[in-house]
Amino acid sequence: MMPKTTRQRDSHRVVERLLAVISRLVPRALRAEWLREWTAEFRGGGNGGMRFSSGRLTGAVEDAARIRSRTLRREVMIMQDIKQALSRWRRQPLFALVVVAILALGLGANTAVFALVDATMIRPLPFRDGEELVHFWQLIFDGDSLINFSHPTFVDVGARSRTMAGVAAYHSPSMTWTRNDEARIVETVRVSPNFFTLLGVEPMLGRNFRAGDDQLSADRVVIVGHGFWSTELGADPDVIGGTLVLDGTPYAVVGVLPQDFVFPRERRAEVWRPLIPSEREATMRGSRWMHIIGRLAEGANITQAQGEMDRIATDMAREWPEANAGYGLRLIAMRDQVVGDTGPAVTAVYGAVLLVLMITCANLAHLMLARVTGRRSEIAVRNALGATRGQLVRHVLVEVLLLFVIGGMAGTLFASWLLDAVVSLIPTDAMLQAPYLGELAVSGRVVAYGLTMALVCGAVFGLIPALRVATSKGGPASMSTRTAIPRAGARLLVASQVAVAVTLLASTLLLVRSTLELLEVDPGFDTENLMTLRISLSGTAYDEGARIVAFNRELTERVAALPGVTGAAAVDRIPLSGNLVTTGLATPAMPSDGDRVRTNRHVITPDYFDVMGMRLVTGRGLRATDTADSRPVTVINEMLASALFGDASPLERAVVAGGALTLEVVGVVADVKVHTIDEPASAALYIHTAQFPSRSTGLVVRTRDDPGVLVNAVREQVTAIDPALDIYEVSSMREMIDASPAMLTRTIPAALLSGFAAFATLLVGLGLFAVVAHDVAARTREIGIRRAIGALSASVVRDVTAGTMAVVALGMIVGAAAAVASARLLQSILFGVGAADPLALAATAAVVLVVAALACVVPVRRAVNVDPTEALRTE
Amino acid sequence: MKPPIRMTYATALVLEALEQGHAYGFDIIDATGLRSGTVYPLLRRLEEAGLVRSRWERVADARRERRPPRKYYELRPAAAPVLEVARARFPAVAAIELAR
Repeated sequence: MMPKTTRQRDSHRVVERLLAVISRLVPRALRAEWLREWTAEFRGGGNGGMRFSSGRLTGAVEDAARIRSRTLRREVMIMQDIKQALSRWRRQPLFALVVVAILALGLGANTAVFALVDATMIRPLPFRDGEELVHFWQLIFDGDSLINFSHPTFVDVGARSRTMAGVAAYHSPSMTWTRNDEARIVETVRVSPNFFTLLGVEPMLGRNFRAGDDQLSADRVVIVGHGFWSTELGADPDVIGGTLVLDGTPYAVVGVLPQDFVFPRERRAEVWRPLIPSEREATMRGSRWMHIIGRLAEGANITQAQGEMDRIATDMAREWPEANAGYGLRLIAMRDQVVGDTGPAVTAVYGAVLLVLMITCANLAHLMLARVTGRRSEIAVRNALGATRGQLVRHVLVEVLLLFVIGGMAGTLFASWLLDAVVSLIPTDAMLQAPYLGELAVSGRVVAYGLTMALVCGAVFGLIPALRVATSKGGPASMSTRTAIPRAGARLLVASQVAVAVTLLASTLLLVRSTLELLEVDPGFDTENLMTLRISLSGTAYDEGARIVAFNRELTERVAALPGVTGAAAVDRIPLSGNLVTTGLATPAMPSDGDRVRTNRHVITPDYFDVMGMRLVTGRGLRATDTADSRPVTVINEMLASALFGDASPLERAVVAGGALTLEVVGVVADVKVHTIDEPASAALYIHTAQFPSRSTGLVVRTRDDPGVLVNAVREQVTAIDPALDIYEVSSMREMIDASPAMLTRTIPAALLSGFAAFATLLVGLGLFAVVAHDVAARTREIGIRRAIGALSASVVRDVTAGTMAVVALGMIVGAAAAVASARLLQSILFGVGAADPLALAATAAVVLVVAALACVVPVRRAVNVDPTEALRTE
Repeated sequence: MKPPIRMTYATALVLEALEQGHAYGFDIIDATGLRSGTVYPLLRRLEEAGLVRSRWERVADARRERRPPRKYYELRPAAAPVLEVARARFPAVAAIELAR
């Protein structure tokens, strides 16, 4: 499009400059398009020619000015609409307050649950390229159990893998930190030297761990967490080079981690140290105690990596059958590892809260529709004074959007409060099990979501009353109460609200029943008045087994003698704490490379069964006469006895643990749940602490009353034996069960859903009331005539409520079907109840019918009391 | 039928011009003799009322004629009854064969 002559070029330039100046009148959003159109017109002569005239230039000015004035007028009119809406609310504050309050609840709940979705599914992991991180597990036998790794396996996996850019290990023992003769337990994590580098984390002070820090001959060093550095070390900037005494050994502080660093699976970690395997740890393939994480190599995905791990597992099983036969390798994306099995529960709760929001908005749209109808005279006057339908629609829509935006902002505040309240109710132990709960917050993304939902819902549901103004035949002035709210539409709305309420109520009742069923579960031992705690027998003083045995004996005797205590026993792992040791068990007759029974191993003192209230089925328990010098004995549970010996008596029979340790069975106890309360009991083996001392020591104490009052007394007995020791993870068994993931995955969704269900039921009641009240108002004349000719009250009641109850029945049927379908989504967290539980459905139906009946009381009474004379005169 | 836009003579002329295939602003101005200050606002109002739609010319087509692409306007199907109303109200418009 090159102009032929210089003159033409100059002309183009002049016109373009003139148009550019004129275009300043056009609002910025429209300016580019306007300029393009007019430029094309003026230069539309072809071959670079111009079609210019002063008249047309004037036309361009007029066009630009007109566009500007229309835009300005729209903006001014929108501001006027807003002012008028605010003025109406000042005159009738109750309507606006009610609407904003309802919106705040509905939008706020929605926003709060989105924060949960954000924390579990959307927010990136707090590491460099977090989506490349994976967590390793070893699969055993049937592929359902995931367990830890041995150090040799960790080394092999790292050496053989090509799909991993690197693998790192971690293990978290507690240690005793001694300072100025005072001792306390610190949570430490042993990590391979490349652990932080793999995660992409650098200390904010000092240095990272490096190759060589994990050698037995290396200097003992630690990196401290920011929280520990701030609270325990005075945030001393010169801390590097200082010393911490852990388990009696001095460690030099070489680094301090950044404030925002948290490793989700070790949230309590205070001190980090290099994982220096002992000779036993470095060589025992069957000793599985550590965790492994990895980062995918560039270009590799988790599916490819899993395929490679399957091959590596097969190779290792062939090379070391005793330790690795029957074991696989499983990779789980780090996000899934952190979030765990919460997906179904979170999705269910989000779906529920979305449904509640929809019926909230539908209810409000109904309310606003009635309000618009009530303003029909005012709207008719506006129309008569020249307002177009579009302007009237805008007028209505502005008020609705304003309500939704204010409701959305109030909802964001409510969401923030609700999240704080929910998080404060979650026990600390549960927070550690579910680390993402600590990240719940109303972040910028969550606020943006809340306001966007407010605008979208306002726009969509605001169209209902707005379009009523636009589409009324004969214009807005012709809107009458009779045609203002289409009966079919209103009834459909109520039926859908009933269906949603039924779905929510039924789901809630199923979760509540699951929780109640769980509370009734008998784990096989007495859970009442049972204190549990752990003690870390750290330091070289407990290197000898005899010292551990002596400690356990003295401690249990001292504690059992305390007033208020009826018994005390030591056990290496507290049942239902989620902390277990497993071993493979077989009989001598079984082939050495054959299947073994995966068994939970417990190291106990003889009083353990009595203190726990466990039933001895046959034979005897462990005794004080079972010592390190006598033959190794064991008590097994019924499940293990059946698995190994069938119906035959297991007494005086031999079992082999871990392929190496032979024990004689002296007794059988009843099965107890030790893993989680919602899973069946599993095979268990009990061995004597005197014969197999363990540094991992827990204490179970049966008390007459509340065990909490005796915590300090028990602590004093521990420190009386060894001042360098302290107790930790103190909890009653009941508290431990209530705070367990098995309970929380039911109780928290149940609590949330019950709130939503109550809200939804309230909305159903309001909706039904509105429909029936409107029906009665619209049919006042008809009812008056019927009463005048002798219709009985019962007949009037039947007539008024028949249609409504039909709607409720329809909603209940649809809702019941939806409830059963949605319960199938919740199946993984239901316990002891089926998806179509008749009791839950019956209770739901009863609640809805009662609410429907209550909603009809006032309008029905009004209908029954219609004075025929008044009704006919008024109409 | 009440048209969605106030039916003036100028509006009827512009509708007729579009119906007869005059598709861009200056062309309609030349065909109808109306001022540009009248034609463009009318085109905007007709577009807002949903009677007319606009589209940009293909760049290749414009380049062939060595000029920038134009914005073309055409009647939507909803304009047919409105055009009938215009012709009924202003019969002279229907009789005009607009300049080319």
